[in-house]
Amino acid sequence: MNTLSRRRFLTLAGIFAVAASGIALAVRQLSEQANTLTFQAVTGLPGKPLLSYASYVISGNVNVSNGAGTITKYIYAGPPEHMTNIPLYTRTVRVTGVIQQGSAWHITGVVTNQAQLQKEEDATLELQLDSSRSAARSTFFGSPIQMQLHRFALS
Amino acid sequence: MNLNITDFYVFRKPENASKTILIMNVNPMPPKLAAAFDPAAIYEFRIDSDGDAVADLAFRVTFSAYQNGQQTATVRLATGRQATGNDDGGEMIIASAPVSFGEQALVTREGNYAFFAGVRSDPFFFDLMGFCNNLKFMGTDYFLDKDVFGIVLEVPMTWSISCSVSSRLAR
Repeated sequence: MNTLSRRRFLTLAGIFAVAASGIALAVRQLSEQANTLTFQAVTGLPGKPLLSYASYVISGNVNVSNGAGTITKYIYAGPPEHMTNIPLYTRTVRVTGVIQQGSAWHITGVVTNQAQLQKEEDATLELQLDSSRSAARSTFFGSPIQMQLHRFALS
Repeated sequence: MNLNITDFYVFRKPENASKTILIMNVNPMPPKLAAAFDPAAIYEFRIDSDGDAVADLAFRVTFSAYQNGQQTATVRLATGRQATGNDDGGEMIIASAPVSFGEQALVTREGNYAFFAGVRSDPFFFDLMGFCNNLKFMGTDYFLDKDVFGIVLEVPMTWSISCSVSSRLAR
């Protein structure tokens, strides 16, 4: 019967301890890696040079590591500087993809309840967030639209 | 509670020229903005019949508190100086008229008056999404499936062009 000498036992114990701490460190780094993107983009409707009477708000939480998340599109009565809490339009979007290019994030999604869609309304969402310029781009009923990024956090 | 007047109509009753119909719509998109008429408000039609820009008649509609899905209305008629006041005074012409919250229109008749108050399809047409999309109108009606609270009062009054009618809300 083989016996484990005290010296060999201490060597093996040391190897296991180093390996375990390495695994723990890797797990910790993985969990601390920022993977949730939270944002809110806003613009007035109609856009300039017309006077805005409503606010278009796109906000969401996206898991950038697996490209999943939910985005909500709202129109509230009142321009952005006097936005009310009266919702005139609400759409929920399921995120289908996220791509990062430097400070820009390209997010795609699809409207979950397509029975809500009106004539010429987009069933899909294309949204670009540029945190360095606090700007966002998307479309509204097929028309390109520029938005201001009011909130952006990667945590 | 929302006190927004959305529409105001005055017209001669088509089948009876001795009657005038007054309609005031309030509280768009119920129940999102308001589930009932405001019991603290006075919904008022003011009529200037001699062109001096001072009300000579005022029909004042007030509502009970909204309880168990029900509400009732009272209509008063103020004349002369009383018509220019801001209170809810006046001779009671309709009492305890039920508000219609369902499909059935509950019309209350009292003497020469008829009264309706309740939720009805909003007659306003507006292509809101086309307006928001930099006036690229698509011909869709945002209010097609929206409702509004309506107050309809049929009064024994002939309508003439020298007569002016206004609506007012007070609380």
